[in-house]
Order: sequence, then structure tokens, then C-alpha cells
Amino acid sequence: MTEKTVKDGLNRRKFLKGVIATGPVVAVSLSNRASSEQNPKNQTGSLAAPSGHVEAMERAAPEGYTDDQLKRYFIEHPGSDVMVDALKQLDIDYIASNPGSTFRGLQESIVTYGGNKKPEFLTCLHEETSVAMAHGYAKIAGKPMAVVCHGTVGLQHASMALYNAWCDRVPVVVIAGNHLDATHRAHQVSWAHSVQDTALIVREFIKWDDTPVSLQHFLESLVRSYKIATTPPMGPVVLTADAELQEGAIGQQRLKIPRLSPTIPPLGDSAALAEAARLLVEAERPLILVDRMARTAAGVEHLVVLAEALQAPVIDRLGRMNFPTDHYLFQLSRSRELIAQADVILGLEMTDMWGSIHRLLDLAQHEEQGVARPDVKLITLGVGDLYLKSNYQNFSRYTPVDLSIAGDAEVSLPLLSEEVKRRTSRTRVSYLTDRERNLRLTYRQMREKDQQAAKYAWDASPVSTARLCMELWQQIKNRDWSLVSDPIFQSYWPQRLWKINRHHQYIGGSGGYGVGYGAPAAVGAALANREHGRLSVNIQSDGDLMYAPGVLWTAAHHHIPLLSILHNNRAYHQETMHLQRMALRRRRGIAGNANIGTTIDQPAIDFAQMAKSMGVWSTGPISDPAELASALRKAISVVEQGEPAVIDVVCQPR
Amino acid sequence: MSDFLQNLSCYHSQASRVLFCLLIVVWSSCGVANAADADKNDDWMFIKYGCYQCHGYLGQGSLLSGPRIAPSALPYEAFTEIVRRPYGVMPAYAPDVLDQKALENIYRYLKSIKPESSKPETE
Repeated sequence: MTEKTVKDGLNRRKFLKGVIATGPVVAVSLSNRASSEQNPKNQTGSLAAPSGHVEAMERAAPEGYTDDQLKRYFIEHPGSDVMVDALKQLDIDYIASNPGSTFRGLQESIVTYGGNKKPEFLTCLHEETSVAMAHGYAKIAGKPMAVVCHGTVGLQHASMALYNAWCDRVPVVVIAGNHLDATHRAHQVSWAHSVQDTALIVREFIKWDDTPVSLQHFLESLVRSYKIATTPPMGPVVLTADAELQEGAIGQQRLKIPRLSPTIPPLGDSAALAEAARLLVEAERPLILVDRMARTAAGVEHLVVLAEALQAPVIDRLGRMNFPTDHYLFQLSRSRELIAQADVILGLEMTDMWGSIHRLLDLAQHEEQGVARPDVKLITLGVGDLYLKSNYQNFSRYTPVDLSIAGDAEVSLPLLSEEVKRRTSRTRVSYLTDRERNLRLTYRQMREKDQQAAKYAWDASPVSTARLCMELWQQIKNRDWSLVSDPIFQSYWPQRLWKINRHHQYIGGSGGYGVGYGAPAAVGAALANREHGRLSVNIQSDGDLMYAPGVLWTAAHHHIPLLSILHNNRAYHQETMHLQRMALRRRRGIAGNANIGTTIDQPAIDFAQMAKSMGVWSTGPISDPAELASALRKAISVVEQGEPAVIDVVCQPR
Repeated sequence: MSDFLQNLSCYHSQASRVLFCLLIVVWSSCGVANAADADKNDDWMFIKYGCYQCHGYLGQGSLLSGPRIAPSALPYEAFTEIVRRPYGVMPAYAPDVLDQKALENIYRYLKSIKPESSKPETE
């Protein structure tokens, strides 16, 4: 062994101290909850002591080798070890991945040097699964999960899931392996897995990317990428980890992992918020629209305070759990009527304000209809205007508004509520009391109407989506549960019939409507729920599951408790309806043609067998609604023992 | 036509279950191109012309795709008018695509659907 190598080995502890203790560490979080659970030791500026795996590496060089042989065969202190140190410092609990050679160095450091804890390597069977798991996880955990993949074929697989995360404003930290140095590409596989500009193919739908050329560069960019991803409007980031940096020795470099400086979300301008308050207080029929607003439970509480201060009904676009469904101001099923009546509408973190106050009818000649009053005053509050890109058009149609306030709605709401209260006169209070009485009445009527609607086709086979949701509700309502799927295809029955009043009880949808999000996002969210002992519930579309069904294996392998109930309509049913519409518009025969290319049948997929083959408890297909309750009870008992379970239910289309 | 859809009609109406199972035998032997015999069946028309897609197999409707259309007290003339010249986003069914006889089948099917008696618990 050379003197340098021995010295490096003996000075390992000193080196780590130099790398890690570079200043106070502030673990960033998306949520107040996560913030409050930080390791206090981190806040004082020192990372937890190195694991036993680190100690094990402080060893002498193997005997019986010449210096040249040592150089030829061994690397001491690879660069990927310090990458793991940085991931630990960022408090990243998991890193989802389908294994690949361009990041073999990092993977080895994670599972060996890092002890496969913080982050734990999650074995995924597709990169789209990795990112979608991270997407769902972040919405429950309140912080990002990391993903590592090939910079070429892996990132290509991951791209659609990144687009969903981008549209849904969810942070995901992707590390992409690559071989930058052409002279180090050993064979054709290495060449095929090398790229000049790793993030190029996803750059239009991520917030930031970088390709570090040194370890110090990597460390700084990793911390920066985390900071950018978690600053509203949040979004995914991609950081290239060159194989040379991972696999080469750290040597004598004095590396520093920079302290994370979380960005305080922007508060709306106080004068603008005061003007918004004036408009809302003076309104006869104020209305609140909300989409991707509540990042935390505090966001829900803030919105309740504002809505009650105004006695304004809330139409939740369900991008997040924003407002309790058992609150009398939650009036989802009255949205058309309320939007048509409103004289002032406040939109909070809205993605599609135009689409909320207009209709564009999908007829032979597109017809545009205004839903809102022509004299309605529009106010928007959100961060959507602060970071946009051009190519992908998920920003929706331009909407002229009367007062557009740039600011994070969750942190701005308390100030707005205070202004509303300050401006509400005593005479106005009695008026608000009358409005409250009316809104309580319309809420009760709306709920009764929804309950009545659920009765139709109650005993039908295939099972109605209302029956499915109500049978499920009966089983979960007295537990600590979390709905980790988007109920759009179940006609929003959970929001219309259940009591959803805690932030973790609903996580919104995919964002980009990219099919294949549902199952892996549910598994990721269930992973985050696991440490809280919550029952994660996923009403799973059949077509979505078949994009990457291997996530069921990942759930079984990592013992992620998740109850998945297949809403199995044996079709990409939305597309069936589209095809039907085209045929009718063209006055062509339709007998059965709308099912060509849109149904998933002949043969019907046996989801229970598929899940079973991957080690997941399962039952079905169930077509008789009378069998649901028993199946649910059995499945929940499996989930409560810490394992996933699947029930295949043959259902009505919507 | 998928197995699933061919068999659906057996499920969605207790009253028509036996009739439709018999129909399936006819259907299977004739193939899609010779489905004229199947047109006699009211509930099959409801499926064949895709009404179920937006309104559900029992016409129960969905907040997402289409309103409830059964049970319905809508007179036949008004029903015909809505199908031929719908308001909102519903696509129009022209007479050369959906003839009057098939429309009558569908109307009869919707009329045959009775209110469900079960009441879900929501609290």
C-alpha cells in the first residue's frame, strides 16, 4: 500500500468530520409536521455519527499485494460515499431505483457504506414506478424521496412520471448516472448508456438540473437541487452523477457538504391581500375555488378560518386535501350553481381558473360558454405565475383577473383572514349569520342528494362505484385511514359521501393525467403512511395498474401495507367514450366499434392471480356487491399485519 | 365485441337475466356482423349503442360522465328529442345511426328500471 492510501484510510474519521460538520444543518421539509420531527442534533450542526459500516471501512490495506496491484484492484473511499453522506444530511429516507450500471458505485455506497438506511434502497421494476412512488410519497411525507436511474434509458422510462410530478408541483430528486468521459466507456453498453446532456429530454418539465464535474460540485448541486425542488412552486429536479465521480477515489480533496438553506415561501403583497379582503367582505356571494393549496394540515386550518370569516362556500378542485368534506362550506356538488351565482371568486393555487368559470363543449363546433357572471370579480392567489415553461401547456388558458396576487396561498391565508376579520363590521356579522344558516341548509341538502344518488344501482352487478366506496367506508371509517388514489373515475364518491377531514386522508391526483401514476404513487404514499400506522387505501383503476404492475412486487418485497381495490371496468373507459363521441359525430355505425382498442378484455385479466404471483394477498374477481364487505374485512386484516392486499372488483364504468 | 360487454346485460337487470343469457347464445353463434336478432333485446340496445358508457348499466349516471336517466318519468317524445338534439356535451344520435326502433328499445329498458330500495349508510 502506498503511503497516501494508508494515510487516507487511517484518517477516515478525520476526513468524515471535515466533510460533514461544515455548519448548521437545517433539514428542509414540505410540511410543518416533518419540520417538527427533525432530529434536533441536525439543527445544532452535526450529522449523526457514522454507522458501523463506516467504521468497518477504516481498515488497513489487504496484505500480499504490491502497490501497483493495490492501485489496479482497489479503490479506497470512493466518491459515491460522500454522495451518500450528503443524502443522509438532507434527511432523505428512501431512494427508489431499478438497478443500473451507470450508478453501480452509488448503489454500492448506499447499501454498504450507508448501511441501506436513510436512504434505504427501494427495488423498483421500472423507472416510471420509481418516480411515481416518490411522487406519492412526497405528498404524505412532506419531503422528497430520491430516485436514481440511468441517465439514458432510465430517465427515458422515468419521463412520463416526471411530467406528472411537474404538473402536480411535487418535489422529486432524481440522480441520473452517466459516463461523461468517452475514453472510459468500456463497451457498447456503456456507449449506449452515455449522453452529452442528460436532462435534455426532461428539461421542459423539471424545475432544475445540473451535470457536476467534480465531487464538490456534486455536493453543492445536490443541496441546491433539494432547495429548488422544495421551494414553491415545487417540482422535480435532475442531477447527473457521473460514473467517474462515483467510482473514483476522494483522495485528498477537502469536501464540504453545504448547509441547506430552505427558501421561505413568498407571502402575498400585504396591500394586495388587503384589497382582496375588501372585495371579498363586500361581496354578496363570495366563493372560494382551491386546487393545489394545502401542503400541510395548517393549510386546511387556514382555509377553514378564511371561509368561515367570509361565510363563503368552497369548491375544491381536489388537487390536495384542502378542506374538510364534513364542513358545511364544502359544497363540491353545487359547483356549477355556486360559480354561476358568485359575484367575487377567490382562486387559491388554481391550475385551471379559466376552465372553472367556463365550459368548452366538445361538439362538432367547439362551443364556449361562460359559467360565471359577466360582472364577477376574480382574485387569484398562488405561486403558479412564478415559474413557468413554454413547451408543455399544462398552465391552462389565460384568464384575465381583477387581482392576481403572487404568493404562496398556504402562508398568505392567515394575513388575508386577518384582513377579512378586521374589515367585517358588526352589522355585517348578522348578515353573515344569515348566510351561514343558508349554507348549512344547502350543505345538508347537497349531502342528502349525493346519498340519494348513491342508492341508484346499489345492488347492480357489475358493482356500482357508489356501492364500492360505501362498502369501503363502512370498513375504514373508524380507523386512521388515508385515501392514496384519485377518485375521479369513481365519480368523486369519497368526497361526496365520506368524512375527509384530516390532511393525510387525501393526496390529490397525478397532475399530468399520465396513466400509470396510480398504483406506484399509492405504494409510495403507503410507505410514508407506514411509520404512522395508517391504513392506506387505493381505489385502483385496472388500466393504470397494467402500466407497471411490478409495483405490487415492490410493495410485497418491502412490506408496504396498502389496501388496493380494483375498480375493474375492463377498459380504458375514458377512451371508449371518446371513440363513441367521434363515431356519433361522424354518423358512422357504432355497434361495438368504440370498444376496439379501448377495452381490456378477451381475455379478462385475472388481477387476483397476478397479484398473488408477486406475493400479494388477493381475492376476486368480485361481481356481486354482497361479497364486498367480507372481502374487505379479510384484506384489511392482511394490511394491518403490514402487508399489501388486492381485491379485484368488477365495476360499473364510472 | 368484448366478452365483458356481451355478458354485462346478464348482470344488470334481474328481470332480463334469463332472457339475455339466451340471447348470448344467439349472439355468439351469429357473430357481431349478424347481430340483428339481438336488436330485439331492450337492454342490449342500451349497451350496443353505448348509453351505458356515460350513464352506467342501470342509467344511474355519474357526476363525471353523464346524469342519471333511470328511473325516469320522461315522456317518450321528450326522451327522443334529447337523444336527437341533446343539450350540453352529450353527442347527438342521428336517426341513421340509431333508428327509431332501437330508440324505443332503449326507452323501454330505461322504463323497466325500478328504484333501488337499499339505503347506504353514510355516517
